[in-house]
This record gives sequence, structure tokens and C-alpha cells, in this order.
Amino acid sequence: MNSTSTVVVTRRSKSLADRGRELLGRFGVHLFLAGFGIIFALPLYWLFMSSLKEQSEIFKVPPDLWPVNPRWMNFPDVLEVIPFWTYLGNSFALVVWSTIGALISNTFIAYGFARLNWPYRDQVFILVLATMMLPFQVRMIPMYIAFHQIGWLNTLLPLIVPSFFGNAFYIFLLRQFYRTIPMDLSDAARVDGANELQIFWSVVLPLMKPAITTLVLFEVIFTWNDFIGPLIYLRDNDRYTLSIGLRTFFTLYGARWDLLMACSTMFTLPMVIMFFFGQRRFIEGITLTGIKG
Amino acid sequence: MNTNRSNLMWAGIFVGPWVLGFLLFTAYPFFASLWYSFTNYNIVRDAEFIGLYNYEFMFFKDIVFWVSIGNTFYFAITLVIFGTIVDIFLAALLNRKIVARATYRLIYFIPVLVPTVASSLIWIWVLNPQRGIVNYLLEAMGLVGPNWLGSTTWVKPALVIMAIWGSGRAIIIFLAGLQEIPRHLYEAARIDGAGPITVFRHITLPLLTPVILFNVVVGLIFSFQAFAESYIMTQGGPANASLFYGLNLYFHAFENLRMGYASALAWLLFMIIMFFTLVVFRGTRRWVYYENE
Amino acid sequence: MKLGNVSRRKVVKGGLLGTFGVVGAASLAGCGETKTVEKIVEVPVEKIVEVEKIVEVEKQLGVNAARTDAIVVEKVKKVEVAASQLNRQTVELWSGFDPKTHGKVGGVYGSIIDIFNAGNPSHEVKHVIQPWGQINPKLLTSVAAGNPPDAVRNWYHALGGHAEAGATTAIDKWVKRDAKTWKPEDFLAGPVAQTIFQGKRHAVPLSGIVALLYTNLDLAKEMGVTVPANFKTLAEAEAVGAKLYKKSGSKIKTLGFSPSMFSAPTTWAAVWGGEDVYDGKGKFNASTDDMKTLMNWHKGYADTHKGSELVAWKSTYGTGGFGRFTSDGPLYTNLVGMAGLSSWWFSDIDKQAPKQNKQWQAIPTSGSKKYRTSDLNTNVYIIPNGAKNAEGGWAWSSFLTSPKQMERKTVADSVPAIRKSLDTPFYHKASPYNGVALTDIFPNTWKLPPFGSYGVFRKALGTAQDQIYLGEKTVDAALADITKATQSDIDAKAK
Repeated sequence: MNSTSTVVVTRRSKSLADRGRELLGRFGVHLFLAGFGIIFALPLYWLFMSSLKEQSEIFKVPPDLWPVNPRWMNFPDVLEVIPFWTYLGNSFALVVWSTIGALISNTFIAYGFARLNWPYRDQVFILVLATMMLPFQVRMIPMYIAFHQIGWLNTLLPLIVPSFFGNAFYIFLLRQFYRTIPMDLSDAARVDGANELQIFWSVVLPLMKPAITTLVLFEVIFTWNDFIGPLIYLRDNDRYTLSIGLRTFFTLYGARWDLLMACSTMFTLPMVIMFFFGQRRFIEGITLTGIKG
Repeated sequence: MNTNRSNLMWAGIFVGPWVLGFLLFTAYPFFASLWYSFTNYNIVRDAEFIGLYNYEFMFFKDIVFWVSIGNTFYFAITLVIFGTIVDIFLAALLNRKIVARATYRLIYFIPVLVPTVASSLIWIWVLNPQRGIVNYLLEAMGLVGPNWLGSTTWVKPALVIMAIWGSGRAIIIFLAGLQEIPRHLYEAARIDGAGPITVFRHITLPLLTPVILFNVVVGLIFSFQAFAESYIMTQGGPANASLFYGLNLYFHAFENLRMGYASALAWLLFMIIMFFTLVVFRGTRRWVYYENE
Repeated sequence: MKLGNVSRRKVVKGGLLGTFGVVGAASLAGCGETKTVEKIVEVPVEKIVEVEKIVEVEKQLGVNAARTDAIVVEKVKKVEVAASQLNRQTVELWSGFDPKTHGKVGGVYGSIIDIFNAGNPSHEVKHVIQPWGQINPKLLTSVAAGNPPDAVRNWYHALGGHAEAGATTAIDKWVKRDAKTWKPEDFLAGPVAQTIFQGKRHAVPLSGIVALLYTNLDLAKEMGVTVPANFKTLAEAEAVGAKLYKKSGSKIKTLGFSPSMFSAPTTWAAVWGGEDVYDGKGKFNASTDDMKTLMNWHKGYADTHKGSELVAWKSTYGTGGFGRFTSDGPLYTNLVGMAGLSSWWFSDIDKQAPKQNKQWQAIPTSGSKKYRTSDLNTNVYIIPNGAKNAEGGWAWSSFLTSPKQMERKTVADSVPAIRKSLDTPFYHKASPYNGVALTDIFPNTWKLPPFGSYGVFRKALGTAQDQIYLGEKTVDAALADITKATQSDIDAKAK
């Protein structure tokens, strides 16, 4: 991450006591990290184990720490109890469209804030950041009423369309990235007679691939997880996303913890898999918005 | 270079979508909800202007309003304090150059990826008094686990624990903050014979304060709006012990159909969040260290 | 009967095929009305044969409704093809009866719709299945948007809110017009009372969700506990529950008797005669003598049996019907010695424990001057305000609540609100709890009228119950809170 390795050369030869202390320290660090790690991993362990238990086993007191006869059929069983594919399809549609929207709008808007000079730009940018402070609840009711009046309730539109108009957090994120690209590149292109759109498209955007990956990861995870939006706007079972579908499943079958856990596993897994592929970009994104603010 | 006029035009093109989105999805609901907050409105009948009655109702008639304020402050403050401590602690451990660091980091981060609905279900099941793994392990240690979500004393701590479990994002930010701290400062301190605790107190912590500030502000904004977990897990119970501000607001808007009153609640929430953000930023002068100063 | 009437007007316009519809409607409603038959001559012969077949099946249904439903559906489908040629208006109907998830009831419900569609010359039901929990929020937005459905399956506990918000249509005009065919007097007084909002009928009563006390006699015997044939007081029931609890070695927490069994806290309020809390004119007061007795009983129970355990139990299973589907519930292992059950559990428990010796009875009151047994959460049909085919909504609602259809539908579901349907040999045979419902519950239902803040009251009552179980509030303070919450909501909505 940063270039500290050059400093480490000053390492002196260590006494035996020093070495012992260091070893103990390392052991302590591992002890704490592993201890907390077990606590952090416990819920997910329990999720997975419960999803493999039989219905009779899941209610045993005291509980079994792992299933005696793992029942993989719980996963296909979920598909029979709830319209999983329908929910998945809706979630998928929501994720794809929102991501496209977020991608187009935010790369564009952030460019305007990062690489163009115009009067009151920084003041307007503060306004952008300020919108992050506005609680969702303030927008919720008027937006609900407005979407209801234009007949968008029970469709994915109220969840998708706003993503085409930019989001303060992503604008901020991308602005951070844009600023790392030397202005000389743009200036050179300008001298060559390119207009801003051309510069945006063929000079700057190609250098933004890491940032775009980060944005896509964030947006996919956000929309996949979103609960309150679909809760308010979607009404029909066949329009539900997975998060609302799973919650409905819970209210209907509050005691089928075998299937609820199997369904939760299937709901969570895609995000974990995605994270494995995009880990580096993901962490970079979090760091960039959290540190360099 | 470019004339002012063409600069303005390009700014309009790039930032225009945001302005449009801002007017539609932020400014409009912002003022509309202010208007609704002065009305009696159930969406079926037309809104009726009733002056400040909703605000009067909030402070003097709604017996759960103050309960929800109390619960929300309890949750927000406990979460911010304990969350920050745990996250910094874990980040400091993860900052050590040790074996399996990436694995540890992964374990702490994966909960972030679990969708809210899934994590809510997981925690209901993990905290089940008789069949959950938490009380099972406590019993193995000779302790009697509480009724967690069924107890007025433990329901809020349970939700705080759950939120800390999902705070891997903050851990990553702290970790990045720690890595920003120049190595030479540590080396110098070590030469001066400072122990690890002294180093942490006098070097790490002061240099980390900007990051702490960021996380505290984000944590407060997030926890004041808390909704989904308590909505799914407890519906505000038992005996309103987990009735958070956002939940009370939701009930009034979408179950009791008092959209006007719910808008008033939303506006107050906005002001609370503004107030606390300002207080935190004001206080920063005393405890946040800026390198440039 | 009523359909004969409704459709006769249409016959004049309807012509040949319309006439055919009349036959279907008249005979399918099972009333054997012959007044309209004079016009059948114009109907093609093969169609009459089809209809007659259905009538035949209908007759059999009197013997065993459930078994022949499949036959009816098949026959009806054929007739439907002919009926679809009619120029009919669509009736958009919302309910949660998804045949996929509702087993027998779902199938029966669908077959009734088929019968209606096969027989009605002017209306055709289009069934839109909604998840139960979504019906109410969606109903209000659809009314507000001006595109509501024409008939919606609903409940007493939500009716007051809907009516006050202006989302329902008063049905008095139709009741008056069709007085000969659809008579409120046919219905039991309790359910009818629960459809009247501020003096006007805002819903068609259908059936009731009633609460009963269930005792697992086999388990009691096994534990060596004698159970009286009928509990006269709740104290008696509690004592037996305590014995069961003790005999199990206090290990199984669910064995015994639990007052937190009902997910609707109003059920217990009804047992104690809590209907005096609201005067129907805007004045609410929860601190009545009956409510005090009730809350003190809750407190006494919590003191002896650890109220915190009850609340913890609720936190795990509250939404799932108190472990209805779990090994904790009475169905899988029959662990619960005694429980309060709602009527929609009855079919489950008979299926899960068919050989078990059970005792059903009305919940006895304790210390109350009056005798009330249940809040009877009446199932109703409402016709939303602004429905495009409100007439069709009424046609469907009154068709479904005709004795014949009621009899078929409620076999596997809940208790019909029509005295005639309830008191048939067939229904007595089909549901063992029927006698109790007829003699003890319906004459004594809760008389609290629907009102706009009923939801707030219900919620506040649940909170008060929790607070008393957990020892967080005194009875008086908890009741004062209910009053304050409900009254302030009434006042605010009247602003």
C-alpha cells in the first residue's frame, strides 16, 4: 500500500530477550485475532450448519454443533416452497439496471466536479456531499407518494431510475480517482483540439477501470442487499426481490429454520463469491472514501 | 485555454444530470415532506393543513416517541463507542505483519457482504435462547445466557453486537488509516524506548483521529436511521425496547397511514442528524489532529 | 336466490346465452330456484346437460363437499368456455388463497370462483393472488391511485382503519335492494356487528377466526393429570397446566398452559369483555374494570410462571403462530398440554395428530361479570371505494357468502358466519369444534365496533401485555398508556 519497506532496513540485531518478547507479542496478536475471528465467523458457521440440518434436528435442545446427517436437499426444497427463481430474476434485473445507471451517471457527473473548472464548483460539491446527510426517511414519503401518482409503484422503476441521476457517495468516490489522473493528459488533448466529451471518453475514462470496478462492486452489493426500498415500492409476490422474498418467507414459515437458513445461504453466497473476485478493488474503494476525505 | 462560456457549457453537460436528479429526488422530497409535516394526510384523502399539530403531537401526545428517541440514542451511542473501540483494536492487530493476515482480514470483512435480511435471520437463530449457538456456548462456559431478543435489557445490546459484527467496512478504513501513519515515527519512538501502549496512545491514536472522526460521523448517521434489523427481528419489541426512531416512523407512515405525522418525524430526524454532525465537527478542533496545521 | 335476482335484470339484455347463464347461476347457487327456468328453452340442449351435471354434483356436495370438488372444477371448466362468450364485466378479486400454498382451501376457493364464472351472466371473477401481508397496504395505495380491485378479502381488525381512511364502500344500498336474497339475519350477530362502521355496513361477513382452548387429553393421561370435562374457570385450567408443567420435571417449557399463546392480544381482552373500552363515538378508555381484571390476571400468571420466558417464547415464534410448525408447537410432538388455538389451526391439528384425544372448549372467563369468549376476528369481503365494477364486487361477495358456497369453503378453513351453514349435519361432522363455536362463541362475540385506531389499540395492548409479563409497568400505568396511545390517535385522525 505505501512505501514503507525502505525504512525497515534500519533493523538492528536483536537480543534474545527482544526476540522472546517479539515472539510472545506475535503469539498474543494471533490469539486475539483468532479469538475474535471465531466470534465473527460463528454466525456464518451456524448459518451454514443450520442450512444442512433436518427439520427434526434443527429444534434439538441442546443443539448439535453440526448436522449428524447433512441434508443437502434443503437447498432444492427452498425452490419448491418459494418462487426463488422469480425473486432471483427480479433481484438480477434490479442489480443490472441500477448498476448501468450508476455507472453512466456517476462517471459523467464526477468528471464535471473533478476535471472541469467552473464557478462555485466546490460549493456545489459541498451540496452534493450534504445530500448524504439527508436521511432516507425524509425522502421516503414524498417519493412514495410521487411514484404512486405516476403509477410506478409495484415496479422496479422507483428503485432503478434514480440511479441514473448520480449518487453523492459515488460522485465522491470517483472524484477521488479522477483527481489522481494528471491534468496534463487532458490539457494535451485539449491542445490537440479534442472537446471535453472526447477527452472524457478516450483519454480519462480508460484510466478509470479500477474505479469503475469499485463502483460496480459497491452498487451490486448495495442493490442486492437493499431492503427498505423494495419493501416500500414492491407489492406483488412476483415482483419481489430476494430480500423481500426472504423476509416474506420468514413471516409465512417462521419456524422452518432449516429452509430459512438454506435460503439465506443462497442469498448471501453470490456476494461472497463476487467479493473474492473483486477483493482488492473493493477494499481500495472503501479506503479511498474513508481516508482521503 | 477554454473560454469561460464553453467551460460553463461543459459543466452543464456533465453536472446537469446531477442537478436534475437533485431537484427531483432530493430537493422536491425535501420540501414536500416539510409541507406534509404540517398536514393530516392518509394518501386516500387530500392532505389537510393542520399547522404545527404534528409537532405538538410528537412532543406531547405520542407516548412512544420519547421511548424511540431513548432507544435510538442508546443504540447509536453504544454502537459508536464500542464499535470504534473494537474496530480500532482489530485494525491495529491486523496491521501487524503476521502470517495469515489476509485470512483474518477476510473473516472480519465477510459479514459486511451478508444482506440485511439474511443477517437478521441468522442472528435471530444464533441468539435463540434454547437452540442458538451463543447461549449453548455460554452454557458450556458455565454461564446462563439471557433471552436476548426477548429481553428488554438485552435486545439493544444484541442489536449493537450484530452491528459491530457487520462493521468490517470500518475496520478496513481504520486499517488503511494505520498504514498511512509514517513508519519512521514508530521507529523513532522505539529508539526513545517507548512501549507499545505508549506508542499507541501518543502516536497511533492522535494520527488516527481524522479517520475516527469520519467513522463516528458515518456511524451516527447510520445508526440514527436504523430500521431494517429491528423491523425484521423484533418489530420493536419486547415492550417497545427495540422500537427505534426509524421503525416508529415507518409504522406511522405505512401501517397507521399518518403520512403527515411521519413526515414531521422524518424532519425531526434530519435535524437531529444535522445537529449531531455539527457537534461532532465542532468538537473536532479539540481532538482531531491535522497534519497540515 | 340472490343471483337469480341479480341476473334476471340482465336476462332481458343478455339474450340467448344470457339465459343460459341464469340457469347456471340459479342452480349453482344451490337454491334450486325454478322461477327463471321458463326461459331455458332457448338454450342449446347440450349446454343444459352440462349444467345439469353440475347440479348433480352440487347435490353430492351436500354429502361430501371436499371429495367432489375436483369433479366440479372439471365440469365447470367446460361450461366456462361457453360462458366466456358472454359479454361480461371483470371482477378483480384480491385474496391470498394461493392454491400452491393453501392446500385444500386454495383448491376449494378456486373451484368456487370457477362455479361463479360458469354461472354468472354479467360478471367474471379474475382472481389476483396477493400475499396476505401485502393486501392491506396495497389496497390503500390502489384506492388512492384510483384503480382499486372490485372485491378484497379482509379482516375485522383492519376494517375500521380502511373505512375511516375512506377506502371502503358502504354496501347498504345493495343489501336493501337484494333484501330478498341476501339477508343479514341469516348471519350470526357477532360477525355482522363487526362489519358495521359508524352505523353503516362496510363489509360482507364471511367467517370468523375464533379462539378455543385445546387440551391434549392423551398427554394429560400419560402424565397422570385429570382434566375436567369442561373448564369452568381459567383458574381451573391454569391449575391443570401447572400440574402438567410440574410432572414434566419443569424441563419442557411448553408443557402446560400459556396465556401468551394468542398472537392477537385482543383475544384475551375479548375473553374479559373488553368491548367497553370504546364508545363508538370518539371516546376511548382502557382502564375499565374488565381490563383491570384481565391485566391483573396476566400479572398473576407472569408472577407464578416467569413472564420473561413467555416473552422470550414470543420473540422466537411470535410471527409463526407460536411454534405452530415446530416441535414446540402442539402439532409435531404434541408437547403442549393445553393451548389457545385459532380456528385456522384446527385443520392442521387434526391432520398432524389425527388419533389424539382432544378436548375443545370455549375459553372460560375469569372474574368477569359478562361472558365473552373471543374477539372473533371476522373474515370479510370489502368493496373498495372507487372500484370500477363495484356491482360485480358485491355479486361475488354475496355469492361466496351464500350458504352453499360457505359450506364448501369453510370445511378446511374457518368457521362460517351463517347459522344455517354452521348447523348442518355435514358441517357438524366435518369439524369437531363446530358445536363449541355455535353454542358458546358466536352468541357471545366481542362487540367492539371497528374503528380507525383499532390497529394502534391492538399494538398498544400487545406492548402493555409485554410490560406486565416483564414486570416493567403496573397494571394501572400500562392501561393508562393504552388509553393515551389510542385516544391521541383518534383525536389526531379527526383533526
